Amino acid sequence: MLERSGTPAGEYLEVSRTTAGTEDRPPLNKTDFSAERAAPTETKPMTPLYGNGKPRRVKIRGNISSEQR
Amino acid sequence: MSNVKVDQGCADRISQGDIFRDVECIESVSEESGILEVNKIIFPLIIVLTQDCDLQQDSPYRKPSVIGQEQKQDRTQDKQLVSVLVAPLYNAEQVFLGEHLSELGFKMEPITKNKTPGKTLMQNERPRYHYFDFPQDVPVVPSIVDFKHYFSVSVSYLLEIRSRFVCRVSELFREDLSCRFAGYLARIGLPENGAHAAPHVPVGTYESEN
Repeated sequence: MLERSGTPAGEYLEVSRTTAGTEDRPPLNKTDFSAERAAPTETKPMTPLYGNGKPRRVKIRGNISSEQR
Repeated sequence: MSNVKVDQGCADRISQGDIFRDVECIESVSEESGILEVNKIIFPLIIVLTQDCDLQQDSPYRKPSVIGQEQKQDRTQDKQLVSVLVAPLYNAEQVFLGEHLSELGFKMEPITKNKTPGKTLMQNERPRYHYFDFPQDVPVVPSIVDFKHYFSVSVSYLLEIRSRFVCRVSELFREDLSCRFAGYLARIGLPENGAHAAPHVPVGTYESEN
């Protein structure tokens, strides 16, 4: 960030760095290594976690022939 | 923290402590004018309660190659079982909220997890419930057995759904479950007013906490 000092206007401009080095830092999107730095993908297969569901009711209807009755 | 040991290998027979997923309980079967209607409840997880020695003695009858030999030695089916007793395993968090049977239309009493009711339940100090916190390598959420809920399934049905075997609660831990279940079933609730209570009220009805 640039700040104007208390000197008369237009005489000279004093630049102070409120956050050291930020002006010289390249934009993040120019060299983005985030993908390379990302942790390697987990190869271990995911085991399903059992017991999260709730008991549920199911109704089945169907015709039966007179021979089956 | 885990409070139970389990075996994850699938044995060649049904054992006490076996946990299966998606097990059906037939509620009713009716037939009217050629229309058959079956009502069933599907439980996400159940655990086998039947005594392991009974299951062991039943298992030879289920093996075709052994049936002939067995029949030569013993011409009866004296030790063959008709059914296996199982109990549903409910998701513990849902039990604490009283919502574990909401899809069946049942509203259950909530249990405060971080206060005495919940803490004593998780320490298996409440006779009605048995709490399982499985080891991290077992893919089962913390679960609760409610000893008021149990049903039977046929041995052949459980053998048919062997692919739905999840794991088996190890010896000692399964016997602890079985012993606590038997104790709960055998409870005798005495009336608060002593001998003056109504004589027709069934045993167990008076128990206040459970």
